[in-house]
Amino acid sequence: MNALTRTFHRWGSPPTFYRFAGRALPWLGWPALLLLLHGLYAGLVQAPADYQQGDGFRIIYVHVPAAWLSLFIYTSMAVAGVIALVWRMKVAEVYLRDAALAGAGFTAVALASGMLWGQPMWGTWWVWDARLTSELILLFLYLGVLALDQALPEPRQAARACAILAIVGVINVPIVHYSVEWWNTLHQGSSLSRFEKPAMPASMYVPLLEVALGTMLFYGWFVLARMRGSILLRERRQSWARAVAMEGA
Amino acid sequence: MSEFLAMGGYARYVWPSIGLFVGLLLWMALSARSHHRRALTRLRSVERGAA
Amino acid sequence: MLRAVIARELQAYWLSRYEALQSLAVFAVVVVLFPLGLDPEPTQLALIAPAVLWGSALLACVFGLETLFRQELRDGWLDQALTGRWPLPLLLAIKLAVHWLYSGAPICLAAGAAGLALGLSDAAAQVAMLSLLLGTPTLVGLGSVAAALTANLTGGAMLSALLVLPLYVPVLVFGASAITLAQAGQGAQAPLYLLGCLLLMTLMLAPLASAVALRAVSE
Repeated sequence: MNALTRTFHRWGSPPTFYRFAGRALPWLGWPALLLLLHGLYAGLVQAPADYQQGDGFRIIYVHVPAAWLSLFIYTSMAVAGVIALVWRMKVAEVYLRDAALAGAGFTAVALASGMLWGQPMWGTWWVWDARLTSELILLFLYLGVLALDQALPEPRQAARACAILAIVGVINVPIVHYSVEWWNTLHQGSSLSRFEKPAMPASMYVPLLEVALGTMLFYGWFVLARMRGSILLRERRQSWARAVAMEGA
Repeated sequence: MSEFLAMGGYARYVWPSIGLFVGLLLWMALSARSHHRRALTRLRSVERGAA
Repeated sequence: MLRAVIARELQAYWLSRYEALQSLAVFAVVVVLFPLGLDPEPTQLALIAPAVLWGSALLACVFGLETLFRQELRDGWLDQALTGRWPLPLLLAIKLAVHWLYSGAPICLAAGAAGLALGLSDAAAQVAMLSLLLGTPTLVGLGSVAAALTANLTGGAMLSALLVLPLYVPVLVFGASAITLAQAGQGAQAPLYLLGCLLLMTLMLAPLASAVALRAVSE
Protein backbone atom coordinates (compact mmCIF):
# COMPACT_ATOMS: atom_id res chain seq x y z
CA MET A 1 0.00 0.00 0.00
CA ASN A 2 2.80 2.31 0.92
CA ALA A 3 4.69 1.66 -2.29
CA LEU A 4 1.44 2.08 -4.21
CA THR A 5 0.66 5.50 -2.73
CA ARG A 6 4.23 6.55 -3.29
CA THR A 7 4.12 5.62 -6.98
CA PHE A 8 0.78 7.36 -7.19
CA HIS A 9 2.16 10.59 -5.80
CA ARG A 10 5.26 10.46 -7.91
CA TRP A 11 3.22 10.08 -11.09
CA GLY A 12 0.95 12.83 -9.91
CA SER A 13 3.76 15.33 -9.80
CA PRO A 14 4.00 17.09 -13.18
CA PRO A 15 7.82 17.18 -13.58
CA THR A 16 8.19 13.48 -12.77
CA PHE A 17 5.33 12.60 -15.03
CA TYR A 18 6.85 14.65 -17.81
CA ARG A 19 10.17 12.83 -17.51
CA PHE A 20 8.70 9.33 -17.14
CA ALA A 21 6.29 9.88 -20.02
CA GLY A 22 9.15 11.03 -22.20
CA ARG A 23 11.03 7.84 -21.38
CA ALA A 24 7.97 5.63 -21.91
CA LEU A 25 7.12 7.05 -25.34
CA PRO A 26 9.45 4.90 -27.48
CA TRP A 27 8.39 1.78 -25.57
CA LEU A 28 4.81 2.44 -26.63
CA GLY A 29 5.32 3.98 -30.05
CA TRP A 30 7.55 1.42 -31.74
CA PRO A 31 5.70 -1.73 -30.64
CA ALA A 32 2.46 0.01 -31.64
CA LEU A 33 3.79 0.76 -35.11
CA LEU A 34 5.05 -2.82 -35.61
CA LEU A 35 1.84 -4.39 -34.34
CA LEU A 36 -0.34 -2.13 -36.46
CA LEU A 37 1.68 -2.69 -39.63
CA HIS A 38 1.87 -6.45 -39.18
CA GLY A 39 -1.72 -6.78 -37.98
CA LEU A 40 -3.14 -4.78 -40.89
CA TYR A 41 -0.96 -6.67 -43.38
CA ALA A 42 -1.98 -10.04 -41.95
CA GLY A 43 -5.62 -9.00 -41.79
CA LEU A 44 -5.90 -7.45 -45.22
CA VAL A 45 -3.61 -9.76 -47.19
CA GLN A 46 -3.01 -13.05 -45.42
CA ALA A 47 -6.29 -13.82 -43.66
CA PRO A 48 -8.70 -15.89 -45.78
CA ALA A 49 -11.88 -14.28 -47.02
CA ASP A 50 -14.98 -14.95 -44.93
CA TYR A 51 -17.21 -17.64 -46.43
CA GLN A 52 -20.31 -15.48 -45.98
CA GLN A 53 -19.08 -11.92 -46.33
CA GLY A 54 -16.13 -12.41 -48.68
CA ASP A 55 -13.52 -9.70 -48.39
CA GLY A 56 -16.06 -7.30 -46.91
CA PHE A 57 -15.45 -8.75 -43.46
CA ARG A 58 -11.97 -7.19 -43.45
CA ILE A 59 -13.54 -3.96 -42.17
CA ILE A 60 -13.54 -5.77 -38.83
CA TYR A 61 -9.82 -5.08 -38.51
CA VAL A 62 -10.44 -1.36 -38.07
CA HIS A 63 -14.05 -1.31 -36.88
CA VAL A 64 -13.62 -3.46 -33.79
CA PRO A 65 -10.38 -1.86 -32.51
CA ALA A 66 -11.91 1.60 -32.94
CA ALA A 67 -15.07 0.55 -31.10
CA TRP A 68 -13.09 -1.03 -28.26
CA LEU A 69 -10.92 2.05 -27.89
CA SER A 70 -13.96 4.34 -27.88
CA LEU A 71 -15.38 2.48 -24.88
CA PHE A 72 -12.03 2.03 -23.16
CA ILE A 73 -11.18 5.72 -23.43
CA TYR A 74 -14.52 6.83 -22.04
CA THR A 75 -14.15 4.47 -19.09
CA SER A 76 -10.59 5.62 -18.48
CA MET A 77 -11.81 9.22 -18.53
CA ALA A 78 -14.27 8.42 -15.75
CA VAL A 79 -11.50 6.78 -13.71
CA ALA A 80 -9.28 9.80 -14.28
CA GLY A 81 -12.27 11.96 -13.35
CA VAL A 82 -12.58 10.26 -9.97
CA ILE A 83 -8.84 10.72 -9.38
CA ALA A 84 -9.04 14.36 -10.45
CA LEU A 85 -11.99 15.10 -8.17
CA VAL A 86 -10.91 13.15 -5.10
CA TRP A 87 -7.13 13.67 -5.07
CA ARG A 88 -7.07 16.80 -7.25
CA MET A 89 -4.25 15.32 -9.28
CA LYS A 90 -3.18 17.65 -12.07
CA VAL A 91 -2.03 14.85 -14.34
CA ALA A 92 -5.50 13.28 -14.25
CA GLU A 93 -7.06 16.64 -15.15
CA VAL A 94 -4.79 16.98 -18.14
CA TYR A 95 -5.53 13.38 -19.18
CA LEU A 96 -9.28 14.04 -19.32
CA ARG A 97 -9.00 16.81 -21.84
CA ASP A 98 -6.51 15.12 -24.13
CA ALA A 99 -8.22 11.73 -24.01
CA ALA A 100 -11.61 13.15 -25.04
CA LEU A 101 -10.23 14.23 -28.39
CA ALA A 102 -8.91 10.76 -29.28
CA GLY A 103 -12.04 9.11 -27.90
CA ALA A 104 -14.31 11.19 -30.11
CA GLY A 105 -12.10 10.33 -33.09
CA PHE A 106 -12.25 6.58 -32.45
CA THR A 107 -16.01 6.75 -31.91
CA ALA A 108 -16.48 8.57 -35.20
CA VAL A 109 -14.31 6.03 -37.03
CA ALA A 110 -16.13 3.10 -35.41
CA LEU A 111 -19.45 4.58 -36.55
CA ALA A 112 -18.27 5.37 -40.07
CA SER A 113 -16.69 1.96 -40.58
CA GLY A 114 -19.79 0.34 -39.10
CA MET A 115 -21.90 2.15 -41.69
CA LEU A 116 -19.49 1.17 -44.47
CA TRP A 117 -19.80 -2.42 -43.28
CA GLY A 118 -23.56 -2.23 -43.00
CA GLN A 119 -24.16 -1.00 -46.53
CA PRO A 120 -22.98 -4.19 -48.33
CA MET A 121 -24.11 -6.58 -45.57
CA TRP A 122 -27.51 -5.20 -44.62
CA GLY A 123 -28.12 -3.22 -47.80
CA THR A 124 -28.46 0.03 -45.88
CA TRP A 125 -26.09 2.57 -44.36
CA TRP A 126 -27.82 2.70 -41.06
CA VAL A 127 -29.91 0.32 -39.02
CA TRP A 128 -31.13 1.12 -35.55
CA ASP A 129 -29.07 -1.73 -34.24
CA ALA A 130 -28.41 -1.63 -30.52
CA ARG A 131 -24.66 -1.42 -30.86
CA LEU A 132 -24.61 1.22 -33.58
CA THR A 133 -27.15 3.32 -31.70
CA SER A 134 -25.27 3.19 -28.40
CA GLU A 135 -22.07 4.08 -30.24
CA LEU A 136 -23.82 7.12 -31.70
CA ILE A 137 -24.94 8.18 -28.24
CA LEU A 138 -21.39 7.68 -27.01
CA LEU A 139 -20.29 10.10 -29.73
CA PHE A 140 -22.76 12.67 -28.37
CA LEU A 141 -21.37 12.12 -24.87
CA TYR A 142 -17.86 12.78 -26.17
CA LEU A 143 -19.05 15.89 -28.01
CA GLY A 144 -20.61 17.09 -24.76
CA VAL A 145 -17.32 16.71 -22.90
CA LEU A 146 -15.44 18.53 -25.67
CA ALA A 147 -18.01 21.33 -25.79
CA LEU A 148 -17.96 21.75 -22.02
CA ASP A 149 -14.18 21.84 -22.05
CA GLN A 150 -14.26 24.54 -24.73
CA ALA A 151 -16.89 26.61 -22.93
CA LEU A 152 -15.21 26.90 -19.54
CA PRO A 153 -12.34 29.35 -19.76
CA GLU A 154 -10.39 28.28 -16.68
CA PRO A 155 -8.55 24.97 -17.34
CA ARG A 156 -8.83 23.66 -13.80
CA GLN A 157 -12.56 24.31 -13.71
CA ALA A 158 -13.03 22.84 -17.16
CA ALA A 159 -11.20 19.66 -16.18
CA ARG A 160 -13.26 19.21 -13.02
CA ALA A 161 -16.51 19.84 -14.87
CA CYS A 162 -15.51 17.33 -17.55
CA ALA A 163 -14.62 14.85 -14.81
CA ILE A 164 -18.14 15.04 -13.36
CA LEU A 165 -19.70 14.72 -16.79
CA ALA A 166 -17.54 11.69 -17.61
CA ILE A 167 -18.49 9.98 -14.35
CA VAL A 168 -22.20 10.62 -14.84
CA GLY A 169 -21.83 9.46 -18.43
CA VAL A 170 -20.05 6.25 -17.56
CA ILE A 171 -22.83 5.25 -15.18
CA ASN A 172 -25.20 5.97 -18.02
CA VAL A 173 -23.43 4.12 -20.83
CA PRO A 174 -24.40 0.58 -19.74
CA ILE A 175 -27.95 1.74 -19.03
CA VAL A 176 -28.14 3.33 -22.47
CA HIS A 177 -26.83 0.16 -24.07
CA TYR A 178 -29.27 -2.03 -22.14
CA SER A 179 -32.21 0.23 -22.88
CA VAL A 180 -31.42 0.43 -26.57
CA GLU A 181 -31.03 -3.33 -26.78
CA TRP A 182 -34.33 -3.78 -25.01
CA TRP A 183 -35.99 -1.29 -27.33
CA ASN A 184 -34.44 -3.09 -30.29
CA THR A 185 -35.82 -6.50 -29.39
CA LEU A 186 -39.19 -4.94 -28.66
CA HIS A 187 -39.51 -3.29 -32.05
CA GLN A 188 -37.52 -5.26 -34.59
CA GLY A 189 -37.32 -8.80 -33.36
CA SER A 190 -34.35 -10.63 -34.78
CA SER A 191 -34.87 -9.70 -38.42
CA LEU A 192 -31.92 -7.34 -38.51
CA SER A 193 -29.65 -8.79 -35.89
CA ARG A 194 -25.96 -9.15 -36.62
CA PHE A 195 -24.58 -12.14 -38.43
CA GLU A 196 -24.10 -15.09 -36.18
CA LYS A 197 -20.36 -15.38 -36.08
CA PRO A 198 -19.05 -18.91 -36.20
CA ALA A 199 -15.74 -19.44 -34.41
CA MET A 200 -13.06 -17.57 -36.34
CA PRO A 201 -9.89 -19.41 -37.34
CA ALA A 202 -6.67 -18.13 -35.81
CA SER A 203 -5.51 -16.63 -39.11
CA MET A 204 -8.53 -14.31 -38.83
CA TYR A 205 -8.57 -13.36 -35.16
CA VAL A 206 -4.85 -13.10 -34.44
CA PRO A 207 -4.51 -10.08 -36.79
CA LEU A 208 -7.54 -8.57 -35.08
CA LEU A 209 -5.89 -8.91 -31.68
CA GLU A 210 -2.68 -7.46 -33.10
CA VAL A 211 -4.41 -4.40 -34.50
CA ALA A 212 -6.40 -3.96 -31.29
CA LEU A 213 -3.30 -4.16 -29.10
CA GLY A 214 -1.37 -1.93 -31.49
CA THR A 215 -4.14 0.66 -31.43
CA MET A 216 -4.21 0.55 -27.65
CA LEU A 217 -0.44 1.08 -27.42
CA PHE A 218 -0.62 3.80 -30.04
CA TYR A 219 -3.32 5.53 -28.04
CA GLY A 220 -1.05 5.31 -24.99
CA TRP A 221 1.73 6.91 -27.00
CA PHE A 222 -0.60 9.62 -28.28
CA VAL A 223 -2.05 10.53 -24.94
CA LEU A 224 1.32 10.63 -23.17
CA ALA A 225 2.87 12.71 -25.95
CA ARG A 226 0.00 15.15 -25.97
CA MET A 227 -0.18 15.36 -22.19
CA ARG A 228 3.50 16.31 -22.11
CA GLY A 229 2.68 19.35 -24.20
CA SER A 230 -0.39 20.23 -22.16
CA ILE A 231 1.49 19.87 -18.87
CA LEU A 232 4.31 22.11 -20.06
CA LEU A 233 1.78 24.76 -21.05
CA ARG A 234 -0.05 24.52 -17.76
CA GLU A 235 3.12 24.67 -15.69
CA ARG A 236 4.77 27.30 -17.82
CA ARG A 237 5.41 29.56 -14.85
CA GLN A 238 7.16 26.81 -12.87
CA SER A 239 10.91 26.68 -12.93
CA TRP A 240 11.07 23.01 -13.97
CA ALA A 241 9.00 23.64 -17.09
CA ARG A 242 11.17 26.61 -18.04
CA ALA A 243 14.28 24.51 -17.51
CA VAL A 244 12.86 21.74 -19.72
CA ALA A 245 12.06 24.22 -22.46
CA MET A 246 15.53 25.72 -22.41
CA GLU A 247 17.30 22.33 -22.34
CA GLY A 248 16.93 21.63 -26.03
CA ALA A 249 17.13 25.22 -27.23
CA MET B 1 -2.15 -6.69 -56.89
CA SER B 2 -5.23 -5.38 -58.67
CA GLU B 3 -7.11 -8.37 -57.29
CA PHE B 4 -6.02 -7.37 -53.81
CA LEU B 5 -7.08 -3.78 -54.38
CA ALA B 6 -10.48 -4.92 -55.64
CA MET B 7 -11.15 -6.69 -52.29
CA GLY B 8 -13.49 -9.17 -53.95
CA GLY B 9 -15.81 -6.36 -55.02
CA TYR B 10 -15.88 -4.74 -51.58
CA ALA B 11 -13.19 -2.14 -52.37
CA ARG B 12 -15.76 0.68 -52.10
CA TYR B 13 -16.38 -0.21 -48.48
CA VAL B 14 -13.13 -1.70 -47.23
CA TRP B 15 -10.66 0.95 -48.36
CA PRO B 16 -12.54 4.01 -47.05
CA SER B 17 -12.82 2.28 -43.65
CA ILE B 18 -9.12 1.49 -43.54
CA GLY B 19 -8.38 5.00 -44.80
CA LEU B 20 -10.43 6.65 -42.08
CA PHE B 21 -8.77 4.56 -39.39
CA VAL B 22 -5.23 5.13 -40.64
CA GLY B 23 -6.05 8.79 -41.23
CA LEU B 24 -7.19 9.15 -37.63
CA LEU B 25 -3.99 7.52 -36.35
CA LEU B 26 -1.86 9.79 -38.56
CA TRP B 27 -3.73 12.87 -37.40
CA MET B 28 -3.27 11.79 -33.79
CA ALA B 29 0.47 11.26 -34.31
CA LEU B 30 0.94 14.64 -35.98
CA SER B 31 -1.24 16.52 -33.51
CA ALA B 32 0.53 15.04 -30.49
CA ARG B 33 3.94 15.99 -31.85
CA SER B 34 2.95 19.48 -32.94
CA HIS B 35 1.15 20.09 -29.66
CA HIS B 36 4.32 19.33 -27.72
CA ARG B 37 6.47 21.36 -30.08
CA ARG B 38 4.12 24.35 -29.84
CA ALA B 39 4.28 24.20 -26.06
CA LEU B 40 8.09 24.18 -26.15
CA THR B 41 8.25 27.11 -28.59
CA ARG B 42 5.85 29.13 -26.51
CA LEU B 43 7.83 28.56 -23.33
CA ARG B 44 11.07 29.39 -25.09
CA SER B 45 9.73 32.63 -26.51
CA VAL B 46 8.56 33.64 -23.03
CA GLU B 47 11.98 32.78 -21.58
CA ARG B 48 13.76 34.77 -24.26
CA GLY B 49 11.43 37.71 -23.70
CA ALA B 50 12.23 37.60 -19.99
CA ALA B 51 15.97 37.27 -20.55
CA MET C 1 -35.33 24.85 10.56
CA LEU C 2 -35.46 22.64 7.54
CA ARG C 3 -39.10 23.55 7.20
CA ALA C 4 -38.03 27.16 6.78
CA VAL C 5 -35.71 26.15 3.96
CA ILE C 6 -38.51 24.31 2.20
CA ALA C 7 -40.91 27.19 2.73
CA ARG C 8 -38.42 29.67 1.31
CA GLU C 9 -37.88 27.51 -1.74
CA LEU C 10 -41.61 27.11 -2.33
CA GLN C 11 -42.09 30.83 -1.92
CA ALA C 12 -39.32 31.65 -4.38
CA TYR C 13 -40.96 29.46 -7.00
CA TRP C 14 -44.38 30.88 -6.21
CA LEU C 15 -43.08 34.39 -6.87
CA SER C 16 -41.82 33.38 -10.31
CA ARG C 17 -44.63 30.89 -10.95
CA TYR C 18 -45.44 32.20 -14.42
CA GLU C 19 -41.89 31.59 -15.54
CA ALA C 20 -41.82 28.16 -13.91
CA LEU C 21 -45.04 27.14 -15.61
CA GLN C 22 -43.55 27.90 -19.01
CA SER C 23 -42.35 24.29 -19.22
CA LEU C 24 -45.96 23.22 -19.33
CA ALA C 25 -46.64 25.68 -22.15
CA VAL C 26 -43.60 24.47 -24.08
CA PHE C 27 -44.77 20.87 -23.63
CA ALA C 28 -48.22 21.71 -24.96
CA VAL C 29 -46.89 23.66 -27.95
CA VAL C 30 -44.44 20.94 -28.98
CA VAL C 31 -47.15 18.27 -28.72
CA VAL C 32 -49.38 20.35 -30.98
CA LEU C 33 -46.64 20.71 -33.61
CA PHE C 34 -46.63 17.01 -34.48
CA PRO C 35 -50.24 16.58 -35.66
CA LEU C 36 -49.83 19.79 -37.66
CA GLY C 37 -46.79 18.34 -39.42
CA LEU C 38 -48.47 15.02 -40.09
CA ASP C 39 -51.62 13.59 -41.52
CA PRO C 40 -53.90 13.93 -38.46
CA GLU C 41 -55.28 10.42 -38.95
CA PRO C 42 -56.04 9.13 -35.40
CA THR C 43 -54.45 5.71 -35.95
CA GLN C 44 -51.28 7.28 -37.30
CA LEU C 45 -51.13 9.79 -34.47
CA ALA C 46 -51.59 7.07 -31.87
CA LEU C 47 -48.62 5.26 -33.39
CA ILE C 48 -46.26 8.17 -32.78
CA ALA C 49 -47.97 9.45 -29.62
CA PRO C 50 -45.49 7.77 -27.21
CA ALA C 51 -42.52 9.39 -28.93
CA VAL C 52 -44.33 12.74 -29.17
CA LEU C 53 -45.31 12.83 -25.51
CA TRP C 54 -41.87 11.83 -24.27
CA GLY C 55 -39.95 13.95 -26.77
CA SER C 56 -41.99 17.00 -25.79
CA ALA C 57 -41.47 16.24 -22.10
CA LEU C 58 -37.70 16.01 -22.62
CA LEU C 59 -37.62 19.34 -24.45
CA ALA C 60 -39.83 21.10 -21.92
CA CYS C 61 -37.61 19.79 -19.14
CA VAL C 62 -34.40 20.90 -20.87
CA PHE C 63 -35.78 24.41 -21.40
CA GLY C 64 -36.71 24.59 -17.73
CA LEU C 65 -33.18 23.79 -16.60
CA GLU C 66 -31.89 27.23 -17.42
CA THR C 67 -33.78 28.81 -14.54
CA LEU C 68 -32.62 26.22 -12.03
CA PHE C 69 -29.48 27.94 -10.73
CA ARG C 70 -29.49 31.30 -12.50
CA GLN C 71 -30.99 33.40 -9.74
CA GLU C 72 -29.13 31.40 -7.09
CA LEU C 73 -25.74 32.30 -8.45
CA ARG C 74 -26.70 35.92 -8.91
CA ASP C 75 -27.96 36.57 -5.39
CA GLY C 76 -25.28 34.64 -3.54
CA TRP C 77 -27.51 31.73 -2.55
CA LEU C 78 -24.70 29.31 -3.26
CA ASP C 79 -22.18 31.05 -1.01
CA GLN C 80 -24.71 30.99 1.81
CA ALA C 81 -25.51 27.36 1.15
CA LEU C 82 -21.85 26.36 1.15
CA THR C 83 -21.26 27.97 4.53
CA GLY C 84 -24.69 27.20 6.00
CA ARG C 85 -25.60 24.48 8.44
CA TRP C 86 -27.36 22.21 5.95
CA PRO C 87 -25.40 20.03 3.56
CA LEU C 88 -25.57 21.28 -0.01
CA PRO C 89 -26.96 17.98 -1.43
CA LEU C 90 -29.92 18.20 0.93
CA LEU C 91 -30.64 21.80 -0.08
CA LEU C 92 -30.35 20.80 -3.72
CA ALA C 93 -32.70 17.85 -3.22
CA ILE C 94 -35.30 20.27 -1.84
CA LYS C 95 -34.72 22.69 -4.68
CA LEU C 96 -35.07 19.94 -7.27
CA ALA C 97 -38.25 18.64 -5.69
CA VAL C 98 -39.80 22.10 -5.81
CA HIS C 99 -38.57 22.60 -9.36
CA TRP C 100 -40.22 19.32 -10.33
CA LEU C 101 -43.43 20.40 -8.66
CA TYR C 102 -43.61 23.38 -11.00
CA SER C 103 -42.14 21.88 -14.19
CA GLY C 104 -42.61 18.10 -14.08
CA ALA C 105 -45.88 17.61 -12.24
CA PRO C 106 -47.99 19.85 -14.54
CA ILE C 107 -46.62 17.96 -17.54
CA CYS C 108 -47.63 14.62 -15.99
CA LEU C 109 -51.17 15.89 -15.58
CA ALA C 110 -51.32 17.41 -19.05
CA ALA C 111 -49.94 14.27 -20.67
CA GLY C 112 -53.18 12.37 -20.02
CA ALA C 113 -55.24 14.87 -21.97
CA ALA C 114 -52.58 15.22 -24.64
CA GLY C 115 -52.42 11.44 -25.03
CA LEU C 116 -56.16 11.19 -25.51
CA ALA C 117 -56.02 14.00 -28.08
CA LEU C 118 -53.36 12.07 -29.94
CA GLY C 119 -55.65 9.07 -30.12
CA LEU C 120 -54.33 6.92 -27.29
CA SER C 121 -56.69 4.54 -25.52
CA ASP C 122 -57.77 5.38 -21.97
CA ALA C 123 -55.45 2.74 -20.54
CA ALA C 124 -52.50 4.01 -22.58
CA ALA C 125 -53.17 7.60 -21.55
CA GLN C 126 -53.12 6.51 -17.92
CA VAL C 127 -49.84 4.69 -18.46
CA ALA C 128 -48.51 7.82 -20.16
CA MET C 129 -49.25 9.85 -17.04
CA LEU C 130 -47.75 7.18 -14.80
CA SER C 131 -44.61 6.82 -16.90
CA LEU C 132 -44.09 10.59 -16.88
CA LEU C 133 -44.69 10.65 -13.15
CA LEU C 134 -41.89 8.13 -12.71
CA GLY C 135 -39.67 9.58 -15.44
CA THR C 136 -39.77 13.37 -15.12
CA PRO C 137 -38.05 13.46 -11.69
CA THR C 138 -35.19 11.53 -13.29
CA LEU C 139 -35.07 14.12 -16.07
CA VAL C 140 -34.93 16.94 -13.53
CA GLY C 141 -32.24 15.17 -11.50
CA LEU C 142 -29.95 14.44 -14.44
CA GLY C 143 -30.66 17.90 -15.82
CA SER C 144 -29.62 19.55 -12.62
CA VAL C 145 -26.11 18.11 -13.00
CA ALA C 146 -25.83 19.64 -16.46
CA ALA C 147 -27.39 22.90 -15.28
CA ALA C 148 -24.87 23.06 -12.44
CA LEU C 149 -21.94 22.43 -14.79
CA THR C 150 -23.03 25.28 -17.05
CA ALA C 151 -24.37 27.56 -14.33
CA ASN C 152 -21.62 30.13 -14.71
CA LEU C 153 -21.79 30.41 -18.46
CA THR C 154 -23.77 32.97 -20.40
CA GLY C 155 -25.72 31.06 -22.97
CA GLY C 156 -25.22 27.82 -21.11
CA ALA C 157 -28.73 26.62 -21.98
CA MET C 158 -27.72 25.26 -25.38
CA LEU C 159 -24.69 23.53 -23.91
CA SER C 160 -26.62 21.98 -21.07
CA ALA C 161 -29.13 20.63 -23.60
CA LEU C 162 -26.26 19.00 -25.50
CA LEU C 163 -24.84 17.54 -22.29
CA VAL C 164 -28.06 16.15 -20.95
CA LEU C 165 -30.11 14.92 -23.91
CA PRO C 166 -27.88 11.86 -24.56
CA LEU C 167 -28.24 10.96 -20.89
CA TYR C 168 -32.02 11.04 -21.26
CA VAL C 169 -32.06 8.16 -23.73
CA PRO C 170 -32.91 5.35 -21.27
CA VAL C 171 -35.79 7.34 -19.77
CA LEU C 172 -37.13 8.06 -23.24
CA VAL C 173 -36.85 4.42 -24.28
CA PHE C 174 -38.54 2.95 -21.22
CA GLY C 175 -41.16 5.69 -20.95
CA ALA C 176 -42.21 5.54 -24.59
CA SER C 177 -42.18 1.72 -24.60
CA ALA C 178 -44.52 1.64 -21.64
CA ILE C 179 -47.06 3.73 -23.57
CA THR C 180 -46.59 1.65 -26.73
CA LEU C 181 -47.15 -1.59 -24.82
CA ALA C 182 -50.24 -0.19 -23.10
CA GLN C 183 -51.63 1.01 -26.41
CA ALA C 184 -51.15 -2.49 -27.83
CA GLY C 185 -53.09 -3.86 -24.88
CA GLN C 186 -50.08 -5.53 -23.31
CA GLY C 187 -48.76 -5.18 -19.80
CA ALA C 188 -46.51 -2.17 -19.31
CA GLN C 189 -45.13 -3.20 -15.91
CA ALA C 190 -41.61 -4.05 -17.06
CA PRO C 191 -40.64 -0.61 -18.44
CA LEU C 192 -42.44 1.10 -15.56
CA TYR C 193 -40.39 -0.87 -13.03
CA LEU C 194 -37.23 0.04 -14.95
CA LEU C 195 -38.24 3.70 -14.86
CA GLY C 196 -38.72 3.29 -11.11
CA CYS C 197 -35.18 1.90 -10.80
CA LEU C 198 -33.77 4.86 -12.71
CA LEU C 199 -35.79 7.16 -10.48
CA LEU C 200 -34.36 5.63 -7.31
CA MET C 201 -30.82 5.84 -8.64
CA THR C 202 -31.30 9.46 -9.62
CA LEU C 203 -32.87 10.38 -6.29
CA MET C 204 -29.80 9.06 -4.52
CA LEU C 205 -27.09 10.32 -6.85
CA ALA C 206 -28.34 13.49 -8.57
CA PRO C 207 -28.28 15.85 -5.55
CA LEU C 208 -24.77 14.65 -4.68
CA ALA C 209 -23.50 15.00 -8.24
CA SER C 210 -25.10 18.43 -8.63
CA ALA C 211 -23.49 19.57 -5.40
CA VAL C 212 -20.05 18.42 -6.56
CA ALA C 213 -20.65 20.10 -9.92
CA LEU C 214 -21.76 23.41 -8.39
CA ARG C 215 -18.70 23.41 -6.14
CA ALA C 216 -16.39 22.59 -9.03
CA VAL C 217 -17.56 25.44 -11.24
CA SER C 218 -17.88 28.08 -8.54
CA GLU C 219 -14.42 27.68 -7.02
